[in-house]
Amino acid sequence: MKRDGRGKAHWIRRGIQALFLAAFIALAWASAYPPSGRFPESFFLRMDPLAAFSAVSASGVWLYLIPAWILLGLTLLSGRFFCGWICPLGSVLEWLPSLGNRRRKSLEGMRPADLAGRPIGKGEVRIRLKYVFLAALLLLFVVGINLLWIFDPLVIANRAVLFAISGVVPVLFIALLILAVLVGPRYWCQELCPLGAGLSLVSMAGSRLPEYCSPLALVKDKDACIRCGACARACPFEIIEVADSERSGRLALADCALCGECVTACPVEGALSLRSMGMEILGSSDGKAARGNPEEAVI
Amino acid sequence: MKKLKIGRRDFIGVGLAGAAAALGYGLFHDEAEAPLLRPPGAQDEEEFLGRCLRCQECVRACPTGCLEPADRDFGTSSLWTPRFNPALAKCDYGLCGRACARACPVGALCDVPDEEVRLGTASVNRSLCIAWAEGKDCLVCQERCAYNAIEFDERGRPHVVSNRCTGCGACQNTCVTCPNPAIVVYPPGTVTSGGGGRRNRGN
Repeated sequence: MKRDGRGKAHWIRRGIQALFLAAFIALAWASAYPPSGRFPESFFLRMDPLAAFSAVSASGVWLYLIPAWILLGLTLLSGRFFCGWICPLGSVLEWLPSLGNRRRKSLEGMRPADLAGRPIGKGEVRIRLKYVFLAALLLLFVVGINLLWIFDPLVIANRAVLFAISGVVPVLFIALLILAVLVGPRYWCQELCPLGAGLSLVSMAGSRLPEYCSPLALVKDKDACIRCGACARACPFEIIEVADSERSGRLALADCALCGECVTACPVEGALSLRSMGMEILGSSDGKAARGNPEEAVI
Repeated sequence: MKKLKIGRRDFIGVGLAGAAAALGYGLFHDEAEAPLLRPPGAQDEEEFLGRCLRCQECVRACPTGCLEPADRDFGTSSLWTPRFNPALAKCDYGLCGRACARACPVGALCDVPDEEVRLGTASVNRSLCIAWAEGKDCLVCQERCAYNAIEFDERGRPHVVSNRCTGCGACQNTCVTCPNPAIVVYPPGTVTSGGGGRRNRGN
């Protein structure tokens, strides 16, 4: 694959995604007899807060939630980093070539002047299906029906791996691949995934926390921003609003997966950065020396 | 104005969630169309279905390969849940250290003591069994039974001692009348206790 000017940071993240995906598959593979006893083979599933909630509501045993608190706690501090860096299903979907990318299309051909302060997607009355799914799932837990087998990304991915090993066709997984190709690589994550919805809610709850207590934060300087819209175009989750350019400081967007694609795409030094505990780990100027005129970078 | 709008949206969202939940309930609250054998240490069926993620970890973990994901014959409410199928292999729960229960991330299977494991109860179909139907000498099921749960009457016909039978499936797996074994494990509660169960009475 060509580097298409996305820079090193993009490939570092892909590498980390690939590592987690490989670990996920290796653990699923290793769950065959005999158990190693050294590591829990169903580690990813045990960390899944939705799976933990279903087990708690079916059994009344609160202990199941303990591993899930790790993910929930980190999400409170950092947002949906899990979706952008770890989730095996999200990684696979993101890597697929896609026919449809609604946001990119809607922004194509726009000049920086058109984009300035343009509130794309804001003010739209829209019901987010993922929250509907999350609420319905939680309601059904109460009456003892557990539909995570259809809706939970980790369960779908785990079953896909184990089905593939034993030669069964993982129907649901393939359906999601087709959806990603037809509609958009992260459409599932953004609009349908109930685990993502839960993490979005937790992320919202932590959105007021300052950047220096966040292990991973997207930070923005509105004085440096030229409102070119490159960030909105680059966002695989299609969530950055150009209107966000009026804000400064930590951009704790509920649905942001902290993937850093916007930072890499940003042509202006210092306008966007990814920071860990307040220290910059990826800046918008990184590796951009030869990028040329920022105004041209838009097209 | 803006607040009103958000309120309405939330209202519709809650309505939709309720409708989705009702739909899910309608589709998935049905009982399994045919009762199925569960892995050892499974919670009672209702709690089991409430917990099971159908992640296939137990199926992968089983050393004998006696588990398989249930197909659509058992209804949507049980689709892809683990099914113990003695036709594939017997369950060696006493030897494997309960690999399936250890693999289960949500405790749908638990590590109950060996003495309490009850996968089901075997029952002899007298019209298929060659000892019953044809008067032949056949000891295979009794030889394979690790729990001394099969005894012969004075005419060499096998009977299942149901309080000793754990439902491990060794007899069904090895029965010579394959592919329609004359001795079959039935899920707990589907065979009445005493003698060989209801289907064997009246002889």
